[in-house]
Amino acid sequence: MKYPEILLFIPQKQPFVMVDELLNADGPDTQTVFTVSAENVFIVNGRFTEGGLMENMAQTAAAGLGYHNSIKNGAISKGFIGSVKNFEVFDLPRIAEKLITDVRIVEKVLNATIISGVVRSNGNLVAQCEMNVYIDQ
Amino acid sequence: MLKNSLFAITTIARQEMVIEAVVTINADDEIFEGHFPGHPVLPGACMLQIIKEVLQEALGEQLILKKASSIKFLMQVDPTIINSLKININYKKIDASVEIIAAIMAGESACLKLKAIFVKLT
Repeated sequence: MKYPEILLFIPQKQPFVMVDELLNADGPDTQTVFTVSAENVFIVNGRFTEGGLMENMAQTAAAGLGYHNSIKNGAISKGFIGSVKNFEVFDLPRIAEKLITDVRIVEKVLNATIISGVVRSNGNLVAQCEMNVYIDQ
Repeated sequence: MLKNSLFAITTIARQEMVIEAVVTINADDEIFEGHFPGHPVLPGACMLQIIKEVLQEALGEQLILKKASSIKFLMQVDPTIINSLKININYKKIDASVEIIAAIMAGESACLKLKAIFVKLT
């Protein structure tokens, strides 16, 4: 299935958009793709840094939540990262690398959503974490 | 990237096991055009980069985050209201890695608390 433009489902705008396309938003699972560009604000010495990887997982989660909310009530809610646990970084991607990011909702408690996220490039693990995202209702 | 554009280090001091720095946030940085339009908030992901860049500057090494066991975002920072932040880092060098416990403070309030291990970037 082809999903609508991802910018419809996240509150961030350029130059702070760290996802390109929504590939899947099925139930608790969301998948996005993102190609690292030379102009990206998180590039240092040609490498996409840790903050960018964390933001990529957070925006993937936001896109999935935003997609489901927009179907339910037509509104996009702003999400904020409350906390991150066990954020592991295995590599800093280089320019033109294509990142595939999978996020799964682990638990929802009131307006907090606990997610686990994994970023891969060419099938190799790049980063992973657990994240607590708060949604402004 | 972030340093000299999003933020500048005003003061930095390194002692044995402790690094203290003050950074100034540039509210006119392009990042705030997208995060969020008409409602500037310093992104949590950028706070993480600020800590890393202060740590690199103090130690004179290029590092990569290996693992952050805990990062807590405790307060949102609107750069048009708060433009000076204090960075406190307790660090311990063990072989090729640096273990840190760090906080970003706005006045007396903590905006971020972090526990992490960095290693040299190869």
